[in-house]
Amino acid sequence: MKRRSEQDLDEELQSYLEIAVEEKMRRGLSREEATRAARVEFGSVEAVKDNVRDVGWEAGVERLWRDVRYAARTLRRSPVFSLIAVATLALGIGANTAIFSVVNVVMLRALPVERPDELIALATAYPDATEAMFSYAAYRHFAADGARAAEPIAASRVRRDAITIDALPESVGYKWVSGNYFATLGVPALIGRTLQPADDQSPPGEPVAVLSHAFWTARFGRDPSVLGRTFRFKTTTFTVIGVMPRGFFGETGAEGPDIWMPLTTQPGAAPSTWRGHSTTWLAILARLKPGVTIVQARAAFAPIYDRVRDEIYQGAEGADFRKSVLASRLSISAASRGTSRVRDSLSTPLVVLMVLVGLVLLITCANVANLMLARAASRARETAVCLAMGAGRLRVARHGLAEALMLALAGGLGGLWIANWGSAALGRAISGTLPISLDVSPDVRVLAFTLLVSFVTAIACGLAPAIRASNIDPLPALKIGHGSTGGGVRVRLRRALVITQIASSLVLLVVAGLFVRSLVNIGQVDTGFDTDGVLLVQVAPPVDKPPLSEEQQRNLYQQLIAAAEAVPGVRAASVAFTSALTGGKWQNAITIDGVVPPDGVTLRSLVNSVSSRYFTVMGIDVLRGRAFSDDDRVATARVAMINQAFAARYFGNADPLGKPIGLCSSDPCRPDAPRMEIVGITENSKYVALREEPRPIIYVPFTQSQTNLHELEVRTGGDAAAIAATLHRALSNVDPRLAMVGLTTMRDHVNSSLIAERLVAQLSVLFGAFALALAGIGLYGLIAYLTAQRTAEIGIRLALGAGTRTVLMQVLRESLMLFAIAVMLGLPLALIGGRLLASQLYGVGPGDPIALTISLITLATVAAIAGYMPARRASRIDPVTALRAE
Amino acid sequence: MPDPKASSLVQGTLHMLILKTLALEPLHGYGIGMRLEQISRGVFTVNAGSLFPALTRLERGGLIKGEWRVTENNRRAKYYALTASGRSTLKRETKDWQLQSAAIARILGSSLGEL
Repeated sequence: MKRRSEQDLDEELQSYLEIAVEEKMRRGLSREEATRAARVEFGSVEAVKDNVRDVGWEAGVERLWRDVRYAARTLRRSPVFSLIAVATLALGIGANTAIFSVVNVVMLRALPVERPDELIALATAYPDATEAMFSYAAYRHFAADGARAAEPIAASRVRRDAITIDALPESVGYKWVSGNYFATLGVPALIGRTLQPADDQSPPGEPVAVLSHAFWTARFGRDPSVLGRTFRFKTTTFTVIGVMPRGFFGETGAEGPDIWMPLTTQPGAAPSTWRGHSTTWLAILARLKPGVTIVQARAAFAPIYDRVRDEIYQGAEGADFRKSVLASRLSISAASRGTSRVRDSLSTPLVVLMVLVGLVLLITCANVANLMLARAASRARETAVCLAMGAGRLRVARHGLAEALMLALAGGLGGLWIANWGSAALGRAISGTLPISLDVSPDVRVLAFTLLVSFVTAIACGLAPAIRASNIDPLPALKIGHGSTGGGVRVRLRRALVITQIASSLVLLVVAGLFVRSLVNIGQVDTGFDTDGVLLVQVAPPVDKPPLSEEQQRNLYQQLIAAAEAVPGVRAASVAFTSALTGGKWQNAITIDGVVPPDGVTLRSLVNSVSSRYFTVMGIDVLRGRAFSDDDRVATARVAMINQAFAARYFGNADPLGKPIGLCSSDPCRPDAPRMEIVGITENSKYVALREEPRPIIYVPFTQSQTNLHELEVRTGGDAAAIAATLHRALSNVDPRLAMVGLTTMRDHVNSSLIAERLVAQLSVLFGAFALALAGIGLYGLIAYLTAQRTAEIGIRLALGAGTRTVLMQVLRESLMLFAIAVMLGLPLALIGGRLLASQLYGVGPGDPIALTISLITLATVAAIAGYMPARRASRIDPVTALRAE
Repeated sequence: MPDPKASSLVQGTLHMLILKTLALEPLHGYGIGMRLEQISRGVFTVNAGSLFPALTRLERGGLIKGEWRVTENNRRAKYYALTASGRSTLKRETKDWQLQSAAIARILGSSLGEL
C-alpha cells in the first residue's frame, strides 16, 4: 500500500475541523465558540498527524531518522558537552578495541591457511603436564601409518644462524619443514613454487629454500629475479625456489622465519637427528581427511604413538625418564589457530588487560551517563515543554537514547582511530621484543567488536538518563525555573554513578599498583650478574669442509676475544656456551665422589662452558677459590667451578674445594667418567629464567670441553650501545667463517624477557590514571551541581552568620561520604581482584599493603581536590548575589 | 462526560466499530465519530488522535477506501466506504465477537445454581 500523502492528510484534518465547527454552530454556538470548542476537542494537530505517521513500517525508519536528526541538532547546540562526551567515549572504546585487536590476533584469529578448522596438533604429554616435541623418526611413523586419518606435517622451531648470500655472512631466522608442509596447509607461493614432498624424501634432501615475504622485501627489495639465486648455509648451497605471500607465518601464525627449507637438507646434522628418538625437535600438525573427526584421528594415531613410545622406552637411559615415558600419552588438539608457545604465553596477560580495560569502559560510561543526566537536568524545562506540547514520553526517552547512540557511534569512530594507533604500538612493542610478528590490522571481528561495544555503551550511558527525562512531570517543571523536578531521584542516580566510578578506579589503581610492584620486584631480582654495561654477541659456530679441528675452533674463539678486547672502551671479553637467560640450556648427568643418589635417580646439573674472564665480564663474584685462568688448557689438569647452590646441595657444610666431580657422557653414569677438580665457588646466578630459584651450576673452561660456544660477552667501560657498531665491525673482520647473528645489550635482553609483565604494568597504570581522571571529573561535576542547586540555601546561611568554614565542611562532607561508600565497595573487589591475579604476580601478596596504601592515597587526593574546588566556591558565595539570583 | 474507562477502546475494537459504521453508509471522519457516539448513546467518544490512525491503518489494510466528495453543505470531505474484503472481515469479526461476548456474558452472569 502506498503511504498517504501529507497534503491529503492536511486537507482531511482541515475538513474535519471545519465540519466540526459547522456542526457545533448548527447546535447554536457562535462561530468563535464553535471554533474554540472544536480545537479543544481535536487537541494538537501535530500530535494527530504524528500518530497517523506512526502507522506502518516506514514510520519506524522515518522516526529513527527524525530522532537522529533531532539528536544531532541538540548535540550541535551544546558542542562542549558533545565534544567531552565523544572524546571520553573515544578513549574508552579505543582502549578496548586496541586491546581486543591484540587479543584477536593472539588468541582468536585462525591461521591464514585453507580450511584451518581441519588442522590438529600432536604433542607428547607427560604426566607432569609438560608437552614435548617429536623426533624425526616419530614423524615418519605418523606420516606413514596415520595418513588415512590425517596428513601430518612437521616443522622445527625458528632458529637463527648465518647464511652467505653474497660475500658476507648474514643472520637469518629459518625453519626446517616437511616437504608436504605448504601443500597440506594449502598456501601456494606468491612467486615460484613451494617445497614439494619430492624435495624431502630422505636425507640429504633437495637443497631448496622458500623465502618469507618480509625477508624478500627487506633483503631483495621484492625482486622477482630472486628465484634461482643461491646462498650458502653451513656446508650446503641452497637454491631459492619461491616466495610466500604476505602475512603467512607458517604453522605458528606468529613466529615467522625468513626462510623455510626441507627437513632432510639440514647440513651437518648428527645421525641421531634422523634415527632414534633422542633428539626431539619437530612440531607435528596434521590436516584431517574429509569426513574424519578429531576423535577418529585420536583413535587412529594413538596406536602409532604406542609403537613410538615403545621405541623411546627401549632407547631411554635413566630410570626416572623411562618411568615418565611409560606414563606419557599422545595429545591431539584442534589447531585452527596454529601452535605457538610464545603466543600462548601472552594469553593470560591479555585476558587480564581485557578485563581491566573493560572496567575503564564502565567508568567511561558512568562519566558520560553523569554528563547526560546533568544535561537532562538543565534541559528539564525544554523537555517539559515537549511533553506539554503533546510529545509522547516514549518519544522523549527515544530522543535521549538517540543522543546517546550518536555520541557512542561518534566515540566508536574516534575509538577505532585511537585503537588503530594503539594496537599498532602494542603490536610493535610485542613484535620488537619477542620473536613473533603480529599483524594487528583490524578485521571484521574487530570492527564488529567496536560496533557492539559502542551500542552497549550507548545503552549503558543513555538508558537511565532517557528514562529519567521522560518521567518529568511537565507542570512543576514549567513553573520552577531551575528544573529541579525529579531532582531527588536524579541526584541519587548520579551519586550511584560517581560511587561506581570511584570504586572501579580503586580496583584499577590497586591492580596497577600490584603489577608495578611485581614488575619492580622482578626487575630487582638479583640475577647474580651485573646486567649494565654488558654487550651480548651471538656467534654462529664455524662450520666448514673439512670440519675445523677442535684446536682450530679454540683458536678462532681466542682471536675473537682478543679482537673484542682490542676495541676501545672494552674492558674484558669472554665466550660461553650461553651467557645466561638467553635460552641456551645445557643440563648434564653428573657424578660426585662420595654422593650416592637414591635408587633410580640420576644427579643432574646445569653446565656452562666459559672462557677465563667470563666471571669478570658478567660480574659474577668468585666467593672462594679461584676463577679459571688462561693457564687452564687442554693439557693441564681438568678443573671446574660450582655455584653456591651446587655447594649447598651436594656438599652441605663440607668444603667442596679440591673435590672431584665428573660430567657423564652416558646415563646412568659410567664410574670412569673423567673427573674435574673443583677450584672455585661463585655466587648464585640465574641461568634459564629470572623467576627461577637458584639452581646448581657447574662451570667448565671452554678449553677443556668440546661444546660449541654460542655467545660472546663484552664488558664495556661506558655506554654499551655506543660501542656496539665498532665492536661488530671488529668481530666481523676476525674470520669469515664466524658469523655474528645478533648483538644486544644484556639489559635489553633481560628486559625483553619481561615484555608481558612490563606491558601489563604500563597499561594498567595508564588505565588507572585515565580512570582516576574520570572519577575526579565525575565527583567534581556532581558536587558542583549539588552546590549550585543549594546556592540560595548557602546564601541564606552565610547571611545568617554561618562561617565560611562551616559551609566548606558541609560541602566537603558530601564528597567524603561518596568517597567512603566507594572505598567500602571497591576495597573488597580490589582484594578479590588481587587474589585472582596472584599467579601473575611476583613477590607481592594480593593484599599488598603498599599497593593498597598508595592507591588509596592517590584516590583520596584526587577526590579531595575534586570535592574541595566546588566547596571553596560555595564558601565564597556573596549572600546578596545568591539571594538575588533566586 | 462518560466514564473514561468505558470509553477507552481497545484498538482492534475501534477498527471493528468503524467497519460496522461504514457498513451502513459511507461517511467522512467527523461523521464516523458522530455516528459512533450516537449509536453508543454517548458511551464512546472517539477523538481525532485515535480516529485518524485507525482510518489510515484500515485503508492501508485494504478494508476501507477513501474518496473525496462534497457534503450536503457543499464542503469537500473524504468519505470512507467498505471494500469487499472489509465487508467479509466485518462479518467474520462480528461472528467472533458475538461468540466471545456471549461466552463472557455467560461466565459473568453465572451463579452456582445454573451449573
